[in-house]
Amino acid sequence: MSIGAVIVAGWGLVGDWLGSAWCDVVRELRRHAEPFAGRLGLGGAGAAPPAPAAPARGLDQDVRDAKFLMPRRGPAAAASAPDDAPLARDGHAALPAAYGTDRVTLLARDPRCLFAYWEATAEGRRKAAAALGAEARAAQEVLRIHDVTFVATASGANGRHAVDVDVAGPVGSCYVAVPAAGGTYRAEIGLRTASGRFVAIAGSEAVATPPEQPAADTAVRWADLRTIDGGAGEPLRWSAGATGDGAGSPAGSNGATDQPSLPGR
Amino acid sequence: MSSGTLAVVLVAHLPFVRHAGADEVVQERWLFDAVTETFVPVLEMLDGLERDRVPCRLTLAVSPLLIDSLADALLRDRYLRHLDRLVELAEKEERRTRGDAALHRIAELHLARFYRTRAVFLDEWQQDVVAALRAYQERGLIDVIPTAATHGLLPLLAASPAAIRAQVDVAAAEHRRFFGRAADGLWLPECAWQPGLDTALARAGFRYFFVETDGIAHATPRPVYGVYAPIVCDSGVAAFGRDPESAKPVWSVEEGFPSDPWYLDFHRDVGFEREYDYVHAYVAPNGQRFPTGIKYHRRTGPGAHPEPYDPDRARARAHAHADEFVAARMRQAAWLARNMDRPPIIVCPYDAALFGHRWFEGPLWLDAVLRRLAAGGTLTTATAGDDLAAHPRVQRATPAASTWGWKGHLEPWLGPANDWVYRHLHAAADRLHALARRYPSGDERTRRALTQALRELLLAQTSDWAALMTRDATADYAVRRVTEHLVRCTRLCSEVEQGAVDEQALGTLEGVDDVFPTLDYRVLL
Repeated sequence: MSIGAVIVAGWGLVGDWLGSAWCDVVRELRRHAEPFAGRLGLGGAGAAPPAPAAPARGLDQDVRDAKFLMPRRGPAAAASAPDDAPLARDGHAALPAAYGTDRVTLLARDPRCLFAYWEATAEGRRKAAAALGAEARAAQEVLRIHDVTFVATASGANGRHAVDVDVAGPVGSCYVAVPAAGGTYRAEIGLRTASGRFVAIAGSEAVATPPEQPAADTAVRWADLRTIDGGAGEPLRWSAGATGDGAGSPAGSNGATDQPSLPGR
Repeated sequence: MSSGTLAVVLVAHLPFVRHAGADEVVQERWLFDAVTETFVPVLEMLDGLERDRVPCRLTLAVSPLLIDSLADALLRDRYLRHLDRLVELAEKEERRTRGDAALHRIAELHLARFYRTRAVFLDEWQQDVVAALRAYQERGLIDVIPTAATHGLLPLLAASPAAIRAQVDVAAAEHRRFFGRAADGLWLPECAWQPGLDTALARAGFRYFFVETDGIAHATPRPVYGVYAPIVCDSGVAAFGRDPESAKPVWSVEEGFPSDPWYLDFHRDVGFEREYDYVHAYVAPNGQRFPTGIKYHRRTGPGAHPEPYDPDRARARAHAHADEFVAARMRQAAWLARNMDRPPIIVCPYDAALFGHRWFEGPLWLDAVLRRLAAGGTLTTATAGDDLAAHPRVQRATPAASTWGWKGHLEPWLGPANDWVYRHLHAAADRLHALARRYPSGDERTRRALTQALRELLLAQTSDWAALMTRDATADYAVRRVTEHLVRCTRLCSEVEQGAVDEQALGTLEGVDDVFPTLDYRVLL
């Protein structure tokens, strides 16, 4: 069976729940090239992500409820035992309100929703304001989300598009809806002037939102796991004797064959 | 001839609920229920299969945290006391129901069950559940693999790579400590995966992990065989995807097999239904009403007149559901095999708590499934490791980020009720990592303090805390637990930074949060 036949027959029949025709790379590129702030309207602080189509409870929820049973409170209940003592919801107030470090961290919650938290110290804000000069007086503190999908550099400075979310206070968090699944985003916290100048106080690592569709890439490469050394508690490495380059490197292409050699049926 | 393999994975995990400084607390019941209602019946089921020479291979993914709890002497003693009380209550119930033949039969069933549990735990296992697991593994019936060390949700911890290393490396080390050999695979907590995590798994020697269906369906490049064959990441670690068709019939207690009206009703329990004076010694330690495990009624639904449980009808339904499940899987495998160039593997992961605890007849159903598969001869049970050994040519692709939680992503653990915790978890991990780099070979006191700080951080990272914060009944406990562990971690970090470790307080903490006795903070490096 040719690899083409495997893809057509295997994909179409094995996983019909996955659908059949999907967007190609060009469509992906075009989708990301559009100004995403203008398409769906990037949410501000606390903006709700798109309404879910999923059921109200996951299949696992009932089992989880059953695992973590708690007593029923009632008139016959005796005084609470130490570990059932009620605790205010703000019980985590025992933790620091701030850590004294300029930081913004981005987490990809789902294909269309990011969560960001940040801290901008007084020193960080002062430095940013100094860089802005006189314009700093009217500057707004913003969370800037860069779409860096298909951008090779880690910096968001040359990302295709960015959108700002006005924020208040040196410490905070928010959810940000993004229009495209399978994108890569980076955040900065900083000051933006009325004329649009922006000085960052801190930047995040890039994070990727999960795709919602099967990949457009249908290239098929195979690996022979017998060419992997290690295991049984030792780090995995592609065997030095395997074909290809990158001997000894877990990320190398050893052991891979572009042409499949499928067993007969 | 085999048309494929069925990989059943039972996932067992509970957070650390040992409260050494207190009398018994209700959260310890979570652990006790797991032993009485899941570990004992499932392992007893394996005994029966072995006795009858029924071939089977199951995977048990057990969190290192749960393994540690099962091995804990204090918790073993408390469990035995709890079991004695259950036996006492069941004996009272047997006497009380003698005038009602239908109820008395069920009371006898529960009494026999608790007698048997006590005999298994005390006499056969010598109170050592982990040794029992090891023995079943050595006999080839099960393959035990770990989850991340404290069941940390790895994608939400990945902002601190050292935290990922600690969760994965400690899991590998703990497994070796208890099972005497390295584990082949790692169960990612909540099936939560994002690209890049495989690097840490490869470094620790794990050969495979599992992902939710969409993880494979949306992998790059597109997998040829969907979820019915593994794919391998660039690191050399393979990923197996969950079969969606075999999930819902078993998982769903509202629409799946467990919803059958002839099965035992989980919610009606003598702990809620008998007079308070009669049951108060057997409910929660603080006297609040709590399920005892003694239940008399079948599932007739809320508001309906309760009907007595009929064990014979329930058994017949379990067998019928096993027939249905096996027939569907055989049809599925045969259909897949006709269109694949390798035998398909159907991966069926379930929370172990379904079997026996949430679904009383679950072990009975699983036993029937395994017997029918063995008799059928066309679909065999195997572990993911068995499959890789038999079919080493695997497509290269990287799974997409996904979880098996609600909506397939991170929302159950990252929402308004629990998102505040990640700022603190990341800050603590970064601070501890910096200290580990600063003191790579500290003196004994520094070593102990940093190791205990790591213990506290790992305990704070348990994914359950975030999930439990979304439920009113458990939110307070979860908030307090994660806060306590983080406060202890940061206090120890401060003491190390100031060169003022309080040895007495450190010793107390080492006794209270005593998981992973061979832990070394340098795992962060």
